[in-house]
Amino acid sequence: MKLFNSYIILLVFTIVLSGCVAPNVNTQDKFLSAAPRSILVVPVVNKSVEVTAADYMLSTVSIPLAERGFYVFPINLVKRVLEDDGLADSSMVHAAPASKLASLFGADAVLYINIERWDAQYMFLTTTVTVALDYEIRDGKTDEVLWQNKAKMVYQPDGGGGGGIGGLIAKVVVAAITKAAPNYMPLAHQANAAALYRYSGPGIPFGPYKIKEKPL
Amino acid sequence: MKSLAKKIAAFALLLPLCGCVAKTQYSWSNYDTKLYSHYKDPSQKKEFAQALKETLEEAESSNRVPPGIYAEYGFLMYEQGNSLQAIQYYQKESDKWPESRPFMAKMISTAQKRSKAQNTSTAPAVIPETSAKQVVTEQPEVTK
Repeated sequence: MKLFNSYIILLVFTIVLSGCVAPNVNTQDKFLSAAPRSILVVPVVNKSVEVTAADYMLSTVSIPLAERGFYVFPINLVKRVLEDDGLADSSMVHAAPASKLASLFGADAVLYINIERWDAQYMFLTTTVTVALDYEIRDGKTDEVLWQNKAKMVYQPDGGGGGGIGGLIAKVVVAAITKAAPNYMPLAHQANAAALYRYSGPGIPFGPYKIKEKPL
Repeated sequence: MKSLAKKIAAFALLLPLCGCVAKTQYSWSNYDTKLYSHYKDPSQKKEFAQALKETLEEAESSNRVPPGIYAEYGFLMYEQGNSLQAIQYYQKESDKWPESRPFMAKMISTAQKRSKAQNTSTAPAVIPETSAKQVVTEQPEVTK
C-alpha cells in the first residue's frame, strides 16, 4: 500500500511540462525608445470554450509585469471601470485604439492578451492540458505595436510510471483528478514567465522600477 | 527498496519547492491567488477585501507595497459604501506611484461626489434610533 502511494507521488512529479515560445519579430528597439513607465492591462479576450479562462488569466498578469519594473494599473479596478463605461465585452476593448484606452487611465502603454487555447483533452488514460496565449503591448500615444509574443504550455502526465497494476491504477487516479478540475493556473504562470521574461529573446525589457541585482 | 522509493519521492517533492522561493521585488502575499479566488467566487467580497488588507499590511511592514494594491483595496471600500476610506487608499496609491495620479484623481473625485451626496441624504437619518441601526449595518467597520 505504501509502495502504491509512492508510485502516485512519483507519477505526480514526473509530469512532463513542455513549453515552447514561438520565435517572433523582436521589437525591443521600439519598446526601448518608447520607454513606457506604466502598463495598462485590459481584460483578456478568450478564444477558448472555457468561459472562466479570461478572468482567471487576468489574475496572473500583475505580478510578473510589476516585477519586471513597471507600474501596473490595478487590474480589477480597471476592469470594473471599463465595464461601467459600457466596455464589458473584452473584444470591444481590444478593438478600441490603445491611445484612447491609455488616455482614460493616463497609461503609457497597453497590454492586450488573447487566449488561443485553454483546454484539456481526455484520452483513455491520460489528459493533456494546454494553455496558449498571445501578448501584445501597444504605445499609449502612437498606437504602435511596441512588443509582441506568444507562449504555449502543455501539461501531460508522463506515460511511464513503472507499469504493473500499481502504475495503471495510479494513472487512472491522476487522469480522474485532472478531469475533475484541470488546473490551468500553473501553465498560465509559466506562459507569462516564458513570454515576458525571456530578455534574450522577445521578452520585454526592464521597466523603470526594476531593482538591479547587486553584483556579487 | 521501499526506502529508496521514499527517498526518490522526497526528492521529487523538494524539486518544485526550489522554484518557489525566488525573492520578489514587492511583497505580494499571494495577491494573484487572492484575485483568482475572487473571480472564482465573486460573492465573497468581504473576504477578498480582508485578503487584500493583509497583503497591504504585510507589504507595508517591509516597505515593499506593489503597484495597484492600494487602489484595488480603495475600490473595494468604495463598493462597500465607504467613500472616505476609498479616498484615503486612492490617495495612498497616488502618493506612492506618480503614474497612477491622473487615474486616481478621477477615482477620488467620483468617491468625493458620492460622499457628499451620502452626507446630505443620510445625515437626517442618523438621528432616529431605528434608522441609525440601518445606517450602521450598511457601513463596514472602520479600522484605524
